[in-house]
Amino acid sequence: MDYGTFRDNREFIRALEASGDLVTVDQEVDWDMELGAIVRRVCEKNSPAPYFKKIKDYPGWEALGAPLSTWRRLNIAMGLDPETSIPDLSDEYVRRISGPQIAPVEVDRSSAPCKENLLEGDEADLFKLVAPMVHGGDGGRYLCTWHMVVGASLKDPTNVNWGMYRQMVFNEKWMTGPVLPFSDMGKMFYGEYAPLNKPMPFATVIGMDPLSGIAACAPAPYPESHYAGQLMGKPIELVKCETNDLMVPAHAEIIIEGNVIPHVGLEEAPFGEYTGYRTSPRAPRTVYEVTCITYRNNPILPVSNMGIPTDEGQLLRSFSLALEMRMLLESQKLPITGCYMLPESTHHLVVVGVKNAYPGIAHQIGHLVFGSKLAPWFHMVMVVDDKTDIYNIKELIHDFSTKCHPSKGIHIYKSHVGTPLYPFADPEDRKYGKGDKVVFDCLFPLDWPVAETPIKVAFSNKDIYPEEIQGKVLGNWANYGFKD
Amino acid sequence: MRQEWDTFVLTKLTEVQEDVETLRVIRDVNPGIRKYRAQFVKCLISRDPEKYPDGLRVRLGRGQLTSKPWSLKITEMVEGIPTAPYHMSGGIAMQDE
Repeated sequence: MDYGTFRDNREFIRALEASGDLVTVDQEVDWDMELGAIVRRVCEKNSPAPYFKKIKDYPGWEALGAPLSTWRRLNIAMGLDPETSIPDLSDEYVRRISGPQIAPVEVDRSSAPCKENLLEGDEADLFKLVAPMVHGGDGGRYLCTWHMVVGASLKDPTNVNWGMYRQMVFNEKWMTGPVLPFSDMGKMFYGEYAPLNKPMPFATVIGMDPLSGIAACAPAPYPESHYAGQLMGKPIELVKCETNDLMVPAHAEIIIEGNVIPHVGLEEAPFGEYTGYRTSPRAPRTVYEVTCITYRNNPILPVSNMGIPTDEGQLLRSFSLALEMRMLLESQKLPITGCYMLPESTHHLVVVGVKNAYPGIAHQIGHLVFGSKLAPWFHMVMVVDDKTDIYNIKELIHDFSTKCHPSKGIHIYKSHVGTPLYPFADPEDRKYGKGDKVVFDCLFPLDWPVAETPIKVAFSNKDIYPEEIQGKVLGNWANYGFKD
Repeated sequence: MRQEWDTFVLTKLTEVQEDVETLRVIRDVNPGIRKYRAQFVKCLISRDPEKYPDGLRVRLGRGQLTSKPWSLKITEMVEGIPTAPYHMSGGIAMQDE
């Protein structure tokens, strides 16, 4: 079933325009920080996505800023009403990815717009592409901020990964960026290719349809092309690369092909990161050598500007990580009411609502989610009871500050897996990708006598105001003179 | 013609060796479509902004731009990726090789 989703970035842009979620910028902007500054301000103000029609030095090139940095734009990408609530969006997302996988279909290159222009040999020059200087002080021009890198296992070429690994232009032929060892691509490259001193073919896809981008961000347990198909309700169309056997979305804006080179490093970073800081230092990172570039006529470069909330990395990663956790906990039959990762936490804090069914349930949740492959990307779990609205920050702050015991309610897990991007990590932890984890247990202990257990004082609590009083007050609210 | 470059230093600035040939990465910061292109070079650097023919701005590890301009003389453009480890935080002194 087709959910009314978009075949490419251009259809999505038209939908954003129709819903009032796009601003077309006809005035020329400079790729050197001005464009980035506009996108940053858009993220901080939750403004409509800017669609840049004229970019200095790059006639014919356009850019779309902050394509998916709001819940409205995510709803639109999913083919839903822009005002769909987060719980309803979450349920729909889980429903789609719980159905059968939808395999992609291959199309001929003549049907693939991404093949409209071809640059090979010396012509395949990264400076011909409008790579912006996203933030002042960045280590270079980041061509790839909202994109995906396609790679395949050496041992099993059918095991294809789509992942979002940032890439900085080093020179005409080289890009560089971090590929962390616990990531899917890291396991392939460092675990399979590098020990044999083999280059790993890659294809960077820029400007794919929005749901393929979301699939690439998601911790999918099977090929992301199938996951994207599930989200779209139809197979995604792929086309073979020019210089390797990888398959890429046929309707993407730009494809960069080449090889990841083992046993060398190129200086990369600093970069304004999803945590809202420039945290990881300039260091030698993974090298991508470019062999070929293809792109659509009048290509449109998507630009995500990471920084303080909210950008698409924070929103989408939070969203998909939380839903993967929800499915994990539900698969273990834990009596949860939901999982919500606050985008404002830069996907570091997940809230789990649970029926307080037995002692130690918060610990059990902590062990499960910290023991999963999702763990490196977050370090805080807050467990609240089933009466708390996990999407309501006001209620969460109240629970945290009143129900979490400052010592007995905080459970710390030492020397876990972390990332070098944690701003709070000390240099040693950052260097080796270590990170402590913490559970904030906001459940009243079940071994407290009932008479000793505090009662929440809220209008909606029937222990405070019986149903008939609540009904009377609600029924007369306007009569009392209130307008809300 | 005087060119402008920048480079990243991760050590204390006082530890950076002047007037010694080092291997480092510099970036072209002249206007144009190749602005921020990176390049391996062997070079001499000085805190004296007039000592060498090209200008050099120095950034720290998180991109902080230091206040005073330095100068640079490129002795060799290095092609390819050096296989020997090079030290980004101040370059490798060639005399140590």
